[in-house]
Amino acid sequence: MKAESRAERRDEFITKVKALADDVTRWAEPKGWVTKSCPKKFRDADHQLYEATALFLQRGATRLLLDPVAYDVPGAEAAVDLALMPTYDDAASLYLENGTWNIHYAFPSDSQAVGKIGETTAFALTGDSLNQILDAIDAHAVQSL
Amino acid sequence: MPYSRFEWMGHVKAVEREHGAARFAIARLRDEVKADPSVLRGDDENRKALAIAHENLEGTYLVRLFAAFEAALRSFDRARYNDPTWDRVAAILIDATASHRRIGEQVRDSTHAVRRQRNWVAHEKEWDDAARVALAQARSNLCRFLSHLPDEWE
Repeated sequence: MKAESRAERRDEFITKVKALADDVTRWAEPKGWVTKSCPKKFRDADHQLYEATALFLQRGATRLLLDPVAYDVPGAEAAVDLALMPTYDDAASLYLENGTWNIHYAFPSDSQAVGKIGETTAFALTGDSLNQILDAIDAHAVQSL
Repeated sequence: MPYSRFEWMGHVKAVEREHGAARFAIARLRDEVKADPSVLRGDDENRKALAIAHENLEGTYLVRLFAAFEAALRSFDRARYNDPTWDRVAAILIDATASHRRIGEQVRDSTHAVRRQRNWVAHEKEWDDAARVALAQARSNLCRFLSHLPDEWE
């Protein structure tokens, strides 16, 4: 990747992830989630250090992390994970595809726990789809010690 | 600049993500070569090593996963004693940190289970299948232990 192109994509990633964290905060907080953003540091392939916004979410004993992963992702402009903390178990993944965030999640049956997800389904990210998925994660989360 | 627990945990998770991508890539190439051996025609060494590379991949990444965890713990321990050269073996590092941070036995023991498996792989000993910890479980155990460290240390 050319340096100019890399810098542009990196800046776009930082901007889009910040906007995503703002949207998630706006949608989740009215549903009882407490949120706190913090910077996540990255070292790029050209050794450039940069920061993107990560977001912690907590409701009751369930703790989640909206975790920026990368912008250099085949088939997507960015990837962000939603992980159960503190174990960092995968819960859902968000991809920026053609300028739109989609959330990939496998709704578990009642007997399945989050973290053992199989085939995921992609949903357009909206306040409703996010909160449906957050509720499902919360309902099936195995609480950590 | 202070060290951040969150960044260390992210580093451990990044190793697991990398393993997922490598496992997918090797499995796909293995299947492709099985269906069409000409893919690696003239490259006999890689053809021969492909199956064993796939078989050993998880062990290889387990060593890296534990190394990332151990680096976090060592960083915290050195800050605790204010000595950048302070060093002790992983087993004692885990016990001492668990005692200092009042980490429960179950969390400590599950961390030792990963350490033992790292030793089996690193020292090429026979694996104890009954005590084997899958990579995702290992990451979970190690991150849970790290979550008991303070947010930051100098």
